[in-house]
Amino acid sequence: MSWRRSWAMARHELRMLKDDPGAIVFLFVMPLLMMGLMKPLFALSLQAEGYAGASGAEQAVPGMAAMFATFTASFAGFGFFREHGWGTWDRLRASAATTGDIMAGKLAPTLIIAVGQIVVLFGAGMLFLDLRIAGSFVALTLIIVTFSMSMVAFGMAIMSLSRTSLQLNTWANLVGILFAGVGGALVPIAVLPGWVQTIAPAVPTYWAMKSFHGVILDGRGVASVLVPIAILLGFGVLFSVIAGFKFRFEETKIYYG
Amino acid sequence: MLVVADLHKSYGPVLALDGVDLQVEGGDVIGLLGPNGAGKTTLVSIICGLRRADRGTVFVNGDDALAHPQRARRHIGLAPQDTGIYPMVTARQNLELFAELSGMRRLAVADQIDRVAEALRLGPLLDRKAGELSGGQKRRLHTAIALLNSPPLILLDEATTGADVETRAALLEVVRNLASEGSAVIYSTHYLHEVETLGASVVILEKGRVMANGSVSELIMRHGHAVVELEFEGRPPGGPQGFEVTVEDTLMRIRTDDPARSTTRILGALGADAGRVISIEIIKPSLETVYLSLTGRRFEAGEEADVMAS
Repeated sequence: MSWRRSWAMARHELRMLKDDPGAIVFLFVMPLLMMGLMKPLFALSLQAEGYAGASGAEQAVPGMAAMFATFTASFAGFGFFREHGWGTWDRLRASAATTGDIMAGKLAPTLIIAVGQIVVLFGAGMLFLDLRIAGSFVALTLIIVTFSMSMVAFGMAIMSLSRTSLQLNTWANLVGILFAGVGGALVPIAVLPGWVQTIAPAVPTYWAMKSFHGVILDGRGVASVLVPIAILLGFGVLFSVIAGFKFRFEETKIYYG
Repeated sequence: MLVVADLHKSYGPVLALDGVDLQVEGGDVIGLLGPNGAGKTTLVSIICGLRRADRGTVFVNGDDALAHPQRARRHIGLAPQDTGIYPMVTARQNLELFAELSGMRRLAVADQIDRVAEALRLGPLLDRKAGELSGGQKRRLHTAIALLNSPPLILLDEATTGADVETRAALLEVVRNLASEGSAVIYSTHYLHEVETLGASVVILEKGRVMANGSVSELIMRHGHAVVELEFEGRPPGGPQGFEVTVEDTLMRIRTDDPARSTTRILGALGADAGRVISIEIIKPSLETVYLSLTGRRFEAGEEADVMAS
């Protein structure tokens, strides 16, 4: 693998993002609005759970950040479908770049965006929504990075399983919202029905939200997030294995749009 | 530069390549001709590692392209049949990406871009978004990407399809220059006259096999007799005695070395059936008559879209 080629590919992806920032606006601005709207509702919910001084931002910020992080999955997948739509996929394949160069160059910017999105939302939460982090920032960072990695891998898995961009869009959004809903990003896990709480550990968002709550509300440290981090990495590996098993470099995908 | 031997490829029951052999040296221009489904795009795709072969060998500049496609690709510049450029970034940024992917150092990239831009008359367009260029300009940019880093083997798959006159002229000139600089060029085209203009050697593919391979003059010498083609109202009658005659629908084709004199004799020999002749065309010895002689039908521009290109 050549870092120089991967970097060329990554720079090109970032350049295209800069020229067409619509998706970025969606990933950053929409959750900011949602956080502001949901905060009062979550304040009541958290206070009912026993967090007397909670402002609501403790659920609204990580919840919206986690939910919109799932949308980076379709963002990651679209990066590949676009190449087919523009007829550039075969050009990339016929270049001297290896499969690893191309994949790394295309996925690194998506990972940066996923991490950057959560960091910006947490920053905005602290500045404008009275979000206070009681626990370790290192633990928070580890969770943000591993959760973002699992979401990018999820995007690759969905992309590999989809033949058309419509399929990608449908499945990424459907499963993403399911992850967010079941995992406690939309509504605190404590107020979800019992059967949902039972199946919640089967989605990565649950482990991210559980860790966020532990660090933000209960003041926990790195040791408390090691198991969730391992599980999130496990999800990342699982999604990557699915992607690796189903992805065919020579497959022609159909892009609408 | 390129050695292809006994290359086979099937798509399910469809045999796309059936034992193709081909040898191309540096400085050669090969015009790759053939009808729909002849296997041209499949051949090009296998050479640059976009498809896997079932059997055979492909060596590019000494590297085994089937066993180590990545290594072989370093020697290849490909302009695929369908235009492939990034519309959202400038022409220069398109070229920069592929220059860097080819392994070129950043310092050398600007020089290479200037070189290919000049060759393909893209200079004033370099800082425009690729999506805003006209069809011909996009086609030139698409081809320019294949020429970055001066690869020793250049594969141009229908480079002039849909191109305007300026683009076509620029592309043909570039192909000539590349060959004179020592690159081997495989040029698949719709247009026989382009191959003749380029003075290219010709490879005719038919049903996955190489039907003919040689210079235009050699092929005309071997297969390129003049043909008198008569179109009849209804089915053609039996052919006149003493001529080699083929019939296709309402067409009768008569092979002759002296078409002017033969036409008078042919019309005389047809008797009353001469009244049913709608048109007469004399096809002089050319690549077209070579194609006709080898495949039994005339080469039509637009019949090139390879079955696997879609």
